[in-house]
Amino acid sequence: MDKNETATAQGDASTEWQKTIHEYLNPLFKPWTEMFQPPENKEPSQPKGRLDESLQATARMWQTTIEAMGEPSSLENYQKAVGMMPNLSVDLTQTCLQGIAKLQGQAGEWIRKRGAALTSADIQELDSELIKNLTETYDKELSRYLKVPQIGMNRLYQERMMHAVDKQNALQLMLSEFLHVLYLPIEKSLNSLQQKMAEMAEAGPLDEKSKTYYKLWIKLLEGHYMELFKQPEYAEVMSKTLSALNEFVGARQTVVNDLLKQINIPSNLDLDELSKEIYLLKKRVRLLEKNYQDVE
Amino acid sequence: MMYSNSNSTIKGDGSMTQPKIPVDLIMKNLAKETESVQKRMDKAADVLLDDLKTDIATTPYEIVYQQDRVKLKHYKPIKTKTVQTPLLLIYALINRETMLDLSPGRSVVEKFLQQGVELYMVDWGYPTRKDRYLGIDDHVNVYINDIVDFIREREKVPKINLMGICMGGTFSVIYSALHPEKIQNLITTVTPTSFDIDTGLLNIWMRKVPADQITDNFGNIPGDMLNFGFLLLNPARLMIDKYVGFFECLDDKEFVENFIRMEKWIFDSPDIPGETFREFIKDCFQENLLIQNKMVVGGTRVNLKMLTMPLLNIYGKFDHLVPPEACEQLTGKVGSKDTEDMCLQTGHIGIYVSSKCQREFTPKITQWLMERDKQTAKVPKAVVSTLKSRTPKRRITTKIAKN
Repeated sequence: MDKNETATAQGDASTEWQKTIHEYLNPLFKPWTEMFQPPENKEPSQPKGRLDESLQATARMWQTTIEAMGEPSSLENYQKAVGMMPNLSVDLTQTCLQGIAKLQGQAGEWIRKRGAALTSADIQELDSELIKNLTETYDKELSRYLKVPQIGMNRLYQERMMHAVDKQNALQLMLSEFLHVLYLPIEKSLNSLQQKMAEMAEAGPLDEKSKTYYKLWIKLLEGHYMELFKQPEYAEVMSKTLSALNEFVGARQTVVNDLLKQINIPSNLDLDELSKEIYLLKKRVRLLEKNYQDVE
Repeated sequence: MMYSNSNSTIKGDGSMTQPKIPVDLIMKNLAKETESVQKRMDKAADVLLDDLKTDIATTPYEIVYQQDRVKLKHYKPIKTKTVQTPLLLIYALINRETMLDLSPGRSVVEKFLQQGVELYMVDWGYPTRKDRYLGIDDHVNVYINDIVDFIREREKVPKINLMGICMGGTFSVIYSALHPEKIQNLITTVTPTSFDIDTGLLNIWMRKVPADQITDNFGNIPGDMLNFGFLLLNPARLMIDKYVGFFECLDDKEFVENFIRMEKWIFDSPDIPGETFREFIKDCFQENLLIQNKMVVGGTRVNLKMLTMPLLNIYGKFDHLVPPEACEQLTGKVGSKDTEDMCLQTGHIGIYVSSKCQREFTPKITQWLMERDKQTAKVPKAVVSTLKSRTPKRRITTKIAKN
């Protein structure tokens, strides 16, 4: 059987099926429609209410639909539509898969570019480069999705929420960098301890007490931290982390203030305004008191 | 004997030597130590579950004055007064003044009282959100000034002795320069006055701190944030070694009590009023205006040359928070001819909590004050009436007897 014969056979089967359904359902709906129509020897009665009207309308709609489906032209159109479904599905799937493949390609290209941006050849620097890279990537690539202008009545609140999410992500990244920097002396001190122990081992038998090694490690750790803290790079990272924290706190506070406003609870801003007024008033009163005492 | 060859080295002839790390002996010792730790923990449980005396600030005092959150504590001397002029202690806004009275036997307050010094101490309290707009001017020209006037009226003296600690010392210096007529003698301890130095981590870090942003976002600077910042100054010692030492001495009741007292004080950090923080960071740490006589407080430029009363400047050689370089320039910049620097072999709080330092520190101050104590017992009526007219009328005065 070729394709056309198959389609015809399928069309014939569906026509028969439609006819069967039509013959089965139509008698079922007839009593419903007759229920709401007055008998022939009676005058048509008014619908008793909205519910009656609604039921009548629904029953009429179904009956009309079933009758229409029983007509040959309707059946033919239905067959055509059903026949097109497989082709349509294939086309849709093909388009989706092509889109996904394109996205994957773009993602791969993006990863390749990020990887190329890692300049350090030293594997030990890789983690710090990676964190910096992540931060840059977020700032350049991902953050912009959270800065898309919003539309609608609640656009301002949506924008503030997205701004807060953006700042939280930025803070998380900065915190990772800061914690990574704080971890470096621990790593270095452990390496230094191993070297020291090797030197001590060469000089003679090693001390049996673990406390000796702990004290040595603490001293090394302290030294490495002091070295780290004096570097301008550390102060830079610390300053950036503080700035990220500030921005997040500010953005979060804005969202919280919006929420509090909705439920009529005074926010920090409202209290600050009052505090400032009271503070300035107290200052003026003090000044006036002083002037009064001077005059007296 | 088992050896570890993980750190083998290569000799000149190319052969490898095996360093002899006695892993088995170390493990054996660890096992022994674990045994002793176990015994110690058993005793420690008894210590921790026992009635520990960890109260701080137990020397009796009364609150004689209060303005907003600020209170004035008055301590009566135990012995006969040796210094007629009362001494006002001004602590920093960071942490609490209870450090000066940490425990019986290790209390600066107690030592002063035993030496016959009449003592007043400012309790800055716990700032709340409404205090965020209070700046240095409010602390110096309102709170400290009103307190000084109160003491002058109460004690019927024209001038008082002033002693400042750390940031409280900076406030004391500013106050003494603005109101020299009210201060008999000035003592500054671990007081930063010159901030443009590279020896202290705080000085390096504060230059990068975005003070405006922090103040605008946080209002008051949270005490928890300050705690974390101070721990970061030396994480190895303050976050690891300190507690290792504590666990090693957990069976020593006295040690545990002292440790807990110190912990109570060190993590009792009030928030700092936002404007004060902003001004201190920008004017002092970032622009170093005070030592250059360029700092403006309450519309008046602070001129250190106006500081004409005798000055005793004490600081710690190993102070990592306020290094000697931040303190020692003061005596050369003031107008007073009677100045003295005293450098103690200790750190920032060692001056106050170390019993050895307390033995040097407080007698020295008392002796120094006695030599410069020109006060008479009674003051002419004309002076008293002038004092009365200048003291603010509306003020809450409470007296609370405390054990």
